[in-house]
Amino acid sequence: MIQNLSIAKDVVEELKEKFGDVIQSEGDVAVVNEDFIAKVCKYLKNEKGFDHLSNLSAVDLIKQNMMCVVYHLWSTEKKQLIILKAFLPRDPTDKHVCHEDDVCDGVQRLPSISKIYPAADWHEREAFDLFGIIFEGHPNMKRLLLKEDWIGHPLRKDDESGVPAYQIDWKLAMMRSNDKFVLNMGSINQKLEKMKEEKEDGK
Amino acid sequence: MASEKIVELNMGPQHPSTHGVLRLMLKIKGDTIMDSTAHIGYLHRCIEKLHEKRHYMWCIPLTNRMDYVAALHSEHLFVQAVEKLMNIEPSERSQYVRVILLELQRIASHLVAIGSYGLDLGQMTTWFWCFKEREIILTLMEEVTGGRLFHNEVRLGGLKNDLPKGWTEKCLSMLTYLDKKWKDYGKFIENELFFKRTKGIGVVSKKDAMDWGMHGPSLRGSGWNLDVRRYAPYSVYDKLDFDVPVKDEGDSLARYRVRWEEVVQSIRIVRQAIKNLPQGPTEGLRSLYFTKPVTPGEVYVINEQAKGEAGVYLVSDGTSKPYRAKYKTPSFCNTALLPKIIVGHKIADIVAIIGSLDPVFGEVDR
Amino acid sequence: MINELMNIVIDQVMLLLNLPIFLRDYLVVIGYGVFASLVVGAVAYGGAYVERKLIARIQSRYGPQHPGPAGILINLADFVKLISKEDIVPDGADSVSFRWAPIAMATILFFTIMLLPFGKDLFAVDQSFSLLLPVALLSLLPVAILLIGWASNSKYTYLGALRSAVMSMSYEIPLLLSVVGLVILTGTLNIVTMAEIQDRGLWFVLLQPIGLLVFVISMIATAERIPFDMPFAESELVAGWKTEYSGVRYALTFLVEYGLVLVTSVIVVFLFFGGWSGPTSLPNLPFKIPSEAWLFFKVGIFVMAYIVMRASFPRLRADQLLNLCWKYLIPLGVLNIGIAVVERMVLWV
Repeated sequence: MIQNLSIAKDVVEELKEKFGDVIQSEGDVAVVNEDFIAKVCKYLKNEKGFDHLSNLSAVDLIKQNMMCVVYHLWSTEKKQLIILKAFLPRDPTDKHVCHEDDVCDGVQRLPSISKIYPAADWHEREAFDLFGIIFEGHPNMKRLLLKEDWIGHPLRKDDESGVPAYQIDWKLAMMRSNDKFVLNMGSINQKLEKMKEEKEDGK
Repeated sequence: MASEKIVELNMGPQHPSTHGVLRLMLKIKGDTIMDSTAHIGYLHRCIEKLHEKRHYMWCIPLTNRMDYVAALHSEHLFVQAVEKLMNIEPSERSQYVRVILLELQRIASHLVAIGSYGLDLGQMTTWFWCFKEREIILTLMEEVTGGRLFHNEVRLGGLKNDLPKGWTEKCLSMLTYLDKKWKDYGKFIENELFFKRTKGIGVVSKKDAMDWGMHGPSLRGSGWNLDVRRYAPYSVYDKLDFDVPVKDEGDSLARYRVRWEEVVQSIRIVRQAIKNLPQGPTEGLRSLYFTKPVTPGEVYVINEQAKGEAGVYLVSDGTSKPYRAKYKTPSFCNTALLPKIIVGHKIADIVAIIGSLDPVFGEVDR
Repeated sequence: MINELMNIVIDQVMLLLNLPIFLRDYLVVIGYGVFASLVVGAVAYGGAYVERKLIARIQSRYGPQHPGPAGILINLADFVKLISKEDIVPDGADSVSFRWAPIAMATILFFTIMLLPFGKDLFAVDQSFSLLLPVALLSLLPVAILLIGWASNSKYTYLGALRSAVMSMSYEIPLLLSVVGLVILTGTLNIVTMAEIQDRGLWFVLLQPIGLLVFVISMIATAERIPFDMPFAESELVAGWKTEYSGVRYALTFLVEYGLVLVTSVIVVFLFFGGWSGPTSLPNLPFKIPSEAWLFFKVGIFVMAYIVMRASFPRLRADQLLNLCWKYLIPLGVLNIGIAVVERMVLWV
């Protein structure tokens, strides 16, 4: 059988009544205005018994020029799931690293829920690391999976940290060798960038 | 007499007892830990980004690499998500075979956990015995799927290979053998010295376990009766009869015992599944070359993996490649609360605590 | 039997070389030293081989198979490998202490073995204090360990050596305390006399079981074997004070470990299990069983017990070891003395 996670539609209605315009619903999902996400989560945890943070993920919606953070909260007593979404404007220039002391001026910011759900601690750090979304009020907003001085946020759709292998123009590389066997000692990326430059110079 | 200043000690990523690449920066006073920070990311292989560049079919071998000890669970999770999105119900027989293979993987994963736990504490014999039993399971898996560790077996709507002839008899005889031995191993492992190393070590209270986001056997060792197979059943688990072991103490011994019990229950499940195995097709939908577009939408599916509750949040934009696949893995959540548990314990206890939480770093770093 | 053999050999040597009579005692001591070295060598070699094979079988695997039939020559191969390694002395290590401390440890061990009896008449020196002297010499080993730990110029070996030394020193107290009861019962410090008393009557294991328990636990701690080997095996300490040793010095530390196993086993057999006592002739055997055979048989059982314990138990944490010693073993040792006094009054009146 296909798993059926029952979604708490009545709770979404209650949220709309309590918080008003802050919440709109798209189908089963409650879309929350990004500044109010912490208050909504606090209400859900304390009053409604959604004690388990199941998932916190970020999605890069480049076509709509937005970032989205999705929260899945589970209630262990009632066995129901509630899905919250927060849409943030997307900052195309957000390619810097935030340290503790710096205040980043990006527009991709959201209040952190790590005081309410301590389980969200590392999830939020991962979202910052891979997407550049800053969670205000997080005790330790540092990179988690990548090294501390990495520049860029890889899971964004326009990030160019890596060159996939099948995009290398092998034919060009072979042609340039002039029938000699070219043995490259060093990074293949450097060699290919050099070839790319030569190609452009040649043209 | 010992100096009362705080010393920073680095338990580096290469370490014989941290179950993988974990770097713990400890602040110790004498022998006691005052504070610690966990650094992960040494095994980050950008699996989620790679998902976005590959067709759905080709993402399945990627998911294997997350929890490399019990690889079939992650495959099943991903394929279930796509099946839910496209509203495809796999055939009865393929669901039963999936359950058999999944529970065998659960046994294999717990064997690694318990064996390594014994090795960390100094009881080397446990490790050899557990891995000897695991060899038999891996051979069985190889006969079905062709791979010992990485299977690439689950497909949309079914499986790649059906069970070969005579496999169920071999499996049943293996289970009778393991059942007998498992009780002996339990008695061997639990001696007075083992209790001294694990009782009262790393106690996590019931409230803290849920707050901090613990998952799996560790959560059930703190008194929560939560198992995804019970509260959000998937596949054919609602038709199978098994108990969920729960202990109340919340220390390392309780977590170890929950794992020990789960192996017994998994053996029970596999026996039932083999008995009730229906005939029928197991072929997945267009099993070999599925690169057709998938219904747009998003879906969230949770599974009970060997290490706990795992979830995948899959966003599809109507093409044949996932738009975003976010995996929530239990080891990630369990490792996050490691620095909170080890405060106040001695350095020698870190090994006991990490072993009882059983993180696998393929899952943590993805 | 060995005694007679040695006497014959010494007599022949004296005849051949025309040595004056007063040198005979020295030759006996030398002969005994040769015998002791052979025994230690045999125990280290054979004990290590049996350990590897027995632990392997317990763990469902085979153990060494290749050098020699059934892997008998494995330790010879390892020894040759160790001798041929480069002699590495860490930068900044105190060169004299680092180089000579393991040799000092091995020397102390050989002295201790020289002092021990190996049979009814097979001992080199006057045995009047033979209960105290070996244990007293063994208490020099922690000093050598501390020296090695400091001389290796590394924070972690220093910590490991400190822990090791503290453990060894703490456990010497129950080691001797547990046998004070025996001294009260027999009135002598001579372990050969104690064995003779047991040979005629009852083995002391039946009179002093608590003493045996405390002594056995303390002797495992003194030999630093599992379950008491935390100073070596702690996760951040690599191998404790032995870390910086390679080659011959490593072989020496290994020898010291097995030598300690031998010494403590011999002492416990003499004190509690009657030493050489055992039936001298069994019904189906055509020859008499020499007394040394029973001694080695019992010592062998204890060595095997060490090995099986290594395969079956986890390690205790360092503070738990000290807890065990000070809170449990020492009070039990004192209780044992009380029991011994009562027994003496009741039995030997």
